[in-house]
Amino acid sequence: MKKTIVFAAVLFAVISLFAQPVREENELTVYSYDSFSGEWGPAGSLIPAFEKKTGIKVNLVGAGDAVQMLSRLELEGDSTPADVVLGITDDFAYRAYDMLSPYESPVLEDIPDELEFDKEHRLIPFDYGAFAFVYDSEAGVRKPESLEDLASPEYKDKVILIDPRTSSVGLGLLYWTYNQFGDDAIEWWKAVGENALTIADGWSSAYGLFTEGEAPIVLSYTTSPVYHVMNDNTTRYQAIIFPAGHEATIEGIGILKTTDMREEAEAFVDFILTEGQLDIAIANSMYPANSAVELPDAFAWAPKPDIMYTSATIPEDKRTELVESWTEAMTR
Amino acid sequence: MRKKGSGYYLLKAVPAVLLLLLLFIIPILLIFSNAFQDGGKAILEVLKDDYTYHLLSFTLRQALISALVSVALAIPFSAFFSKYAFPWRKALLTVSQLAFTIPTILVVLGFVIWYGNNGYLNNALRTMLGVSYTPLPVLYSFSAIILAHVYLNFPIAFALLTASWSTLPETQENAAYTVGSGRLRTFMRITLPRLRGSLASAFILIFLFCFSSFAIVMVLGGNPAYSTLETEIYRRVHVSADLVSASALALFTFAVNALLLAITTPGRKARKGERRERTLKKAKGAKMLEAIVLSFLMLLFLVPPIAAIAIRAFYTKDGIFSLKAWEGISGRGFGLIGGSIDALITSLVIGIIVALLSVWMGSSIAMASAKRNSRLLPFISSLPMASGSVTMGLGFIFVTSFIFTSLGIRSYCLSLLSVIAAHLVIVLPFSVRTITPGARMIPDSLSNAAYTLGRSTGRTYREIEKPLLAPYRRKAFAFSFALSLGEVNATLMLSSGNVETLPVLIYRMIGNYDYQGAAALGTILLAEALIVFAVGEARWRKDAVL
Repeated sequence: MKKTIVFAAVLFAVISLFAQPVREENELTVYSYDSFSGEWGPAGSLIPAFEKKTGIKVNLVGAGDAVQMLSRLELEGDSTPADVVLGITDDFAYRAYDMLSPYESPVLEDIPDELEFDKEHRLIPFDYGAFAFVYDSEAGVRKPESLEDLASPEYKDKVILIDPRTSSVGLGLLYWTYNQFGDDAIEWWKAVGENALTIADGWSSAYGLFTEGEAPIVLSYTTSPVYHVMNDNTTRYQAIIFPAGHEATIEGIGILKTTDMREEAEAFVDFILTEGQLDIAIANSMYPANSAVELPDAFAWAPKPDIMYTSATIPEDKRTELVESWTEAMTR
Repeated sequence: MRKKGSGYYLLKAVPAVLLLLLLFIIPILLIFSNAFQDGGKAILEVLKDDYTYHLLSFTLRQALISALVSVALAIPFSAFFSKYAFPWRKALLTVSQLAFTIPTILVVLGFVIWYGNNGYLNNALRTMLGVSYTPLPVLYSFSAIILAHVYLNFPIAFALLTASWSTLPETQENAAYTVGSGRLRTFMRITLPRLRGSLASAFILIFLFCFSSFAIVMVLGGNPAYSTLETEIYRRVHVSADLVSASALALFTFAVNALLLAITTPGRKARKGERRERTLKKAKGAKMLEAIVLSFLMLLFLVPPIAAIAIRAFYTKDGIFSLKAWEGISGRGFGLIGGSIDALITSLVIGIIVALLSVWMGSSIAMASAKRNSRLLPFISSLPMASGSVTMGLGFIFVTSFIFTSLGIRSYCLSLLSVIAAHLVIVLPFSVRTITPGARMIPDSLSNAAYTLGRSTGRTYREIEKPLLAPYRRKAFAFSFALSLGEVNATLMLSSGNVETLPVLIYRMIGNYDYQGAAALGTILLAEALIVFAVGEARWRKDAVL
């Protein structure tokens, strides 16, 4: 019995090894974060479409999350097999610039200037999103009107925040509060921290608590309601737009300096910035960077903020300092 | 003192040691060389910083309480379960291991659905009492952390204790009763000392588990002041990108844990002697009632949160019955049912390979250390537990980038192998810790008798020693399988998203706002674990009591 199981297991493992395609020469190697390259990511339909259109074979590598992808590129240095890197966010962009070469894509003219966080175009934005508080309109709480409003006593135990030490969404909120309040950001956290039911480790658990009805207000994205409209057919969960502005996160694509397939790499970038836009926007739940793209109706439930901040404007040292003062104020 | 055939056992332990060396010790050394990059300044800073000790004291406190409560709670249950037989005994032992397989995110979700302020329990109480406030505000407090840790770890203590308690003959206890010693006194002076090995083993496993706990502490604790050392290492790696200071803190944490491990690693003085599997007494009358009450209490504690997940898979968050998740699983995109069946098989195959290898390697390390009276081997193999998942993650980043750059291969094969290897390193400490008390209890006289009768070392192992290890090996198998099945961090990190296991899919579903779908996949995961455990128990029934 045991031997049979072992045998079956080994057999299965061996078969699955050979079922996988072998890497070919002359492929364009693209590094992306896992959720892009995974079976459910936009890559499933995009890559075959690109290969069909251009005849260029693509070797898409899921390199972990955005930070791991950067670490990997840094470790690999000049010997990296990557030609294109996709999905570096504006806040970490500075770490990638040395490895990339600028590309003046013809599509750039359709991309709004305020999104172009790298004026040298080493990284070109392909999508963006904004952090927002989402609230349950049927929970009987007043819709908050601003960040300051969240400190009001009526929201005691009604807000779910996310820790900036362990989550990019939490970090986004920290930058957001800094962009709006400057160094008083920490005071905001102290006050709203009092109202927080919990400060979760990541978006997944925070949003899970929210949908289970533990608290009616959660930190998430402006696009979150789209899912509930499309999957649950309900408009009960709504993103709140604050007139004072929202923190944005912009994802960029870039070509590595070390590539020997420059032309193919440029074709890929252009493809992502044009035909790829809609698929990526829907799969990532982000807005497409290309302003010429039309979105499906459900995106009407993902209101775009009028004012958007980016963390790229906060100096690197300041960012580290912010998290440190947050830790100091909130955890000691 | 070395015993006959210790060379044979040492040789058998070589593959396990090599694996540890490649996947754990080398990366750890590389990380730690980072810590000294600036000539030890970073280390000094960590040692001088009050905050380090602030974090340490909280981390120790919650881990200590969690481990103590888990073990203490397990003692009365194990006492009964290792003495009496009743029809559903085995089923309950199997079910108790289930909680262990669920990825943390689902444990958190299950807790929220059951114990939450808007959860089943509080809503039921609200209706019964006719009140509008939260009658049982357990979550988002320090006690919630302990509750969740005990929930996850009580089964470890229970299973380990029951396994070794079942092999203690009662002659000494009976003798004590005959000379008029009371039950408590007998327990304290006769039983407890003989259980010391398993108690220590269970305690340290749970302690280290809770020491590096992350999501549970942060989400259910409800207050960022409840921060563990692990959180701070994570922040330094991922937010500050300050690898030197992260490595320094990781080194500090590792040193603390390694010290604790060294203290509790089974030593030379393990008691040997008469050792026979107990014949369980049939529970009758009052004992039957006790069996029912104890079983009920255990189920009441263990089942609701996982049942909540299973129920959630059939209901929308508004409480309306819906098969949407299951339809969704079959209808979405590339066919997620295809995806989930593939993932189910992948998880199953990885889990079984990992569990078999870990029992094999765990036994060989346990036997080698027992034969050579070595503390070093079990200590080394337990080290991965002392490092915590964030530090391990750092190490894996290093290993993968090394493998990928130097070999230039990115095949599914390599991903799968590295996932198996990583799981193996993660589960091996459990396996070694589970089997070692058993290996130490094998009387030398038994093996020596076999040698005298002309049996070879290998044959003695297979025919005499291995059957004696069976209950421990079975526990090790179940734990290894369960751990591998629920593992998600290393899988994602090492497979570049190539290897899609069930927990990986669960995280993806949650990322797609589909908590009902995630609960459905969680239910599939639980069912898978249940089947494997049941089959595992059936397979071994003939050679052991438990």
